[in-house]
Amino acid sequence: MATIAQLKGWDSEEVFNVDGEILNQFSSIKELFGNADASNSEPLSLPNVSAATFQKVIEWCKHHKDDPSLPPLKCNKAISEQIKDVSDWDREFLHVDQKTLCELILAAGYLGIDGLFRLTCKTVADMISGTTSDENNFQH
Amino acid sequence: MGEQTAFSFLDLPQELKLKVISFLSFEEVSGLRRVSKSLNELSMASLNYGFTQAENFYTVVQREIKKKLPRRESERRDHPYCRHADILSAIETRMSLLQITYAKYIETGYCCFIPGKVLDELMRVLSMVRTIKEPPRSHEVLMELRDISSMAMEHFEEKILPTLKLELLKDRVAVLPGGVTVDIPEPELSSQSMCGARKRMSMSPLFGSALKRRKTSPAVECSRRKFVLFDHSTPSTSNSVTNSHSHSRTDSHTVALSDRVTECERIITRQGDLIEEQSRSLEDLKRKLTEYNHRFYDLAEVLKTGESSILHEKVSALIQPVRGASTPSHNVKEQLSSDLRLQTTYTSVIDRGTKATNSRDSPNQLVTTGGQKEGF
Repeated sequence: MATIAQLKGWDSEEVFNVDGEILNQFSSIKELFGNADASNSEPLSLPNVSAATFQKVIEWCKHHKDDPSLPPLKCNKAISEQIKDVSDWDREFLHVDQKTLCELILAAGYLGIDGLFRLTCKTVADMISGTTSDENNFQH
Repeated sequence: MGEQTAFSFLDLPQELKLKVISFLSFEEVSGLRRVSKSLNELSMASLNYGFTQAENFYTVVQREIKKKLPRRESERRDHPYCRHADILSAIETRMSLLQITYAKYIETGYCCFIPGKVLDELMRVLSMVRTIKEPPRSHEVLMELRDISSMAMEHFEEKILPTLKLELLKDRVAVLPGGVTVDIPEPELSSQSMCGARKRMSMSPLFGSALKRRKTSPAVECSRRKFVLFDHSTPSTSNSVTNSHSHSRTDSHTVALSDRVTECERIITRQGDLIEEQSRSLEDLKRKLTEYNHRFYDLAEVLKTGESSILHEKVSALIQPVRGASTPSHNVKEQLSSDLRLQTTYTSVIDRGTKATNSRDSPNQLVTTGGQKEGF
């Protein structure tokens, strides 16, 4: 697949070449590129995404590129039941420290990757819900 | 780990934090309020939003069900969606009750929609009504909702509202300037509170005229203060006029007021105790009175029977010799009439006694007439 976008994190000069399949999952920025050939233009810096996080995001997107598009979430709290089945790969993928997890949420929210965003939000929510207020106090 | 991370959950933008929190149940969100101030604010926003969401969701579901129901009332009764409509109307009542309880304080920002569990239950019932074809009877579905929501409202009114009102009072006093000019901005008042204000003005002419003249005497200032203090529906009064002395003055005013309140409360409790004691002694007296009435009645009964038997004996003793002679003598007649007089006086006394007791009135009269007959 040809590279159609060149992106980089805000904290380093490392350039990531992103192909169409992955770019399609970045719903909020994919329109920026359209059909133009971006291979010879300046790489775009992403303000809310660090290089390390972007690496992880791309890894996730590669794994999930064939996923069907998600149904819109219903406006109630049954959301957490709507995404019950977290695959083993995802669980392993999200087995990271809190900092990375929060950065992943930020990146997923910024880039508009719905699947990753829901997954990370749910993971954090599960972390919160399983603890008492004192433990939460320590965490935050 | 939490201390080492430079970037944590709380550093996320507000909307992302809200999104994360929306993955929790409302009950858990209301538990989060205890964690920290920033999380409290976040959770409050989430809970308030949740209640609005519930109201919107209700409107959606209600519209859907209404569309499916026939228009005519008589046809609705046997319709399969009749039960849905029942449940929805019950939910509406619950929601309006909750609205009445919390909305005023949510709007002023003094609290949020506190019971998260009620929201969860509301959402559960609504989504159940929406999806299930044949729901169980309405009281079975709504039992939990009814229980927890009324518990929440009771708790709010008994435990939270008093402290909230105190806070409100303090804020009012703090906002109110202690200086000479007390500005009550008329257009800012809501129509409802305005009505109340007008009523109060008409009740105190002094207050009304003072408003017109915009000049205050100490008495007027006092009455005006009372007005602002006890009108809870008024939104915050003018912030514009501030005085350097106002804080110390208002503080002392607050202290004096709270002292008076506590004193009044003490008096009220004392009077309540007194009333209770008096009612208890009244009850005691009443019981004694009925007891004495009964005793009086019994005594009267005994007296009456004894008297009638004596009379009977006398009459029979007199009749015995009369039977021997052909006509009764004058003596006998006199004796008889005097005894009869005695009898009537007794009966009248007894009658009066029984009337006083007001109980078992009619059988007593029957007995007396019987006695008289027996006497003859």
